[in-house]
Amino acid sequence: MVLRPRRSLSETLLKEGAIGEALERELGHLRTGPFDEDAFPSRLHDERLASLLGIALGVCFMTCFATGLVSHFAQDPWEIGILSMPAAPAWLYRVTQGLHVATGIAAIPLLLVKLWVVYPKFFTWPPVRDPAHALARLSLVPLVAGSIFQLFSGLLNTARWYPWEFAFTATHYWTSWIVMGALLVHIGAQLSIVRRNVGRTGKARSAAVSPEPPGDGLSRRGLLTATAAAVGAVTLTTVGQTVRPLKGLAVLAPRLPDSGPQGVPVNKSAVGARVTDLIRDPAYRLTVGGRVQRELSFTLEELRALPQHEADLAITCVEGWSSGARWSGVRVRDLLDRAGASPDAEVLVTSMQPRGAYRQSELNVPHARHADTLLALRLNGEELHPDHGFPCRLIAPNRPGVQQTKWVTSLEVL
Amino acid sequence: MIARRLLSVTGAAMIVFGLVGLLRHADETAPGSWVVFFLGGLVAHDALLAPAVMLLGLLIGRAVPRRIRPVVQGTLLVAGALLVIAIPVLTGNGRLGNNPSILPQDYWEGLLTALGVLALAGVMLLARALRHPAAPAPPEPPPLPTARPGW
Repeated sequence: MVLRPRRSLSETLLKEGAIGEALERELGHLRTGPFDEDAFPSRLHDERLASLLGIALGVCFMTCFATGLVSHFAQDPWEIGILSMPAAPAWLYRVTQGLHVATGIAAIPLLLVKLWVVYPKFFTWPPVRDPAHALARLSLVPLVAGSIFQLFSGLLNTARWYPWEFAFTATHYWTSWIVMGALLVHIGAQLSIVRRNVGRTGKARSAAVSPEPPGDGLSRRGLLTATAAAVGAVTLTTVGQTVRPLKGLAVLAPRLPDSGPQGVPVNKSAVGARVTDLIRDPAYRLTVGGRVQRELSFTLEELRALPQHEADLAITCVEGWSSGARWSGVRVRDLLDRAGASPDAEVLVTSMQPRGAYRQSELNVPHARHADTLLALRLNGEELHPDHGFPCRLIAPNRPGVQQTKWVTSLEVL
Repeated sequence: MIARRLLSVTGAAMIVFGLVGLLRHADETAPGSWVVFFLGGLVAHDALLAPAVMLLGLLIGRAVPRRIRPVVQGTLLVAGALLVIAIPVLTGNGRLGNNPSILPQDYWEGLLTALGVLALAGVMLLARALRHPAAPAPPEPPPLPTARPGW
């Protein structure tokens, strides 16, 4: 009698596609350590916990993505009118960007706890069951790596620590598409697990009210409570950088809303921008040119003699801090009208700063025509500090701080 | 099933869009450096942080009495979160001589204050836990299966 020879591993892989079975048969005896069934004894490595934390993280990531897109398009507008930043409400960008950073910080403990809950799945046995399983596991790389990358590169950016070679904003933006894409794939793959563990209807109900699994230490509810406390703790110790009433608690905030020259923080100082000599030059002129009927030029004294207006506006930084202040100076639209510029003209504002990505900014029509858009000469009743843009700076409602150009020397009508 | 397919296709398209964007703007995104930090974070978590936390959990399971274990675990979780988000400001790498409004605080003092408040809350919860009698020990787990042949 002739026996059929036992199939080799490669034959099995090729013929059946059941990679998992083959691995188990050939390598099953190697299963040990973290791959063992009871390697992770805690009752908290649990589907319901993973689902609830996943939902919370999903909400955080969607919030970060939406507010991040607002910030991206505020700084890099599409050439479509409807998608350029409105000038009102003045507080909009302050809220969206404050939310962006606060939500990102809050997501850090959520992400770490969620990864801890599902960590045993990293040691699933057999490591790969079939091609679909392999693909599903592989798709977790952009999700997990991307989530860690986004949250921590953002956190480091708020502290202005750049250990990498890439430009933060562009990289953070493009990576966000990868993470959100991987998140959608992940939601699709895990939808059935979430459905059977969360919710108040039908089958889900039994899971939702199911008793705590037996065991020691923190319960499921206890872990969720502790995670909520961690989210609260990291939020309370940082959010005062934009929510001024909570400033006293912001012991870990990289900025304080009243810490800086004249009580307002600064991103680029006069020394850092290399303008200390230029701004003291007696030959300083502010020019209004471009597509105008008559070109104008003002000395600082002449600017001071023009009608002055006040505006309560916040400097809002992309890094998540903001600080409201009272500014006074000349309305940009008054200058444009004097020069005879068209009322639907956009304006390029240029700084004395010799170089740097933010030495120029554009005013779209709503911003250029807004009554609160000023070339400010004074801040909280005092002449501008050099770090705040002496002799004059742009300040406009609902605009990222990097676009509130300082040390302004020319307005060019486009 | 339709929802799953729709999410997968949209997600895959977004991943491709992001990757293409990264590569097209390589002068800004420095893909070499990006890969190092992208995968570096994953490795740092999966190979260092997570095993360390698992080991810590094991130690707590051995060393801390059952009655107060939940309080200890919960307090350490919050402390860990505070520590993680404090690291970038603690290093002070972002400080600039010409701009004192960046990182204006003493962050060691801030972190210790926050941890102190947390410890106080932990002690109060501990006192409450100790007032309650210990719950009965859970039953012994079933014995482990016999070792597989082959070892």
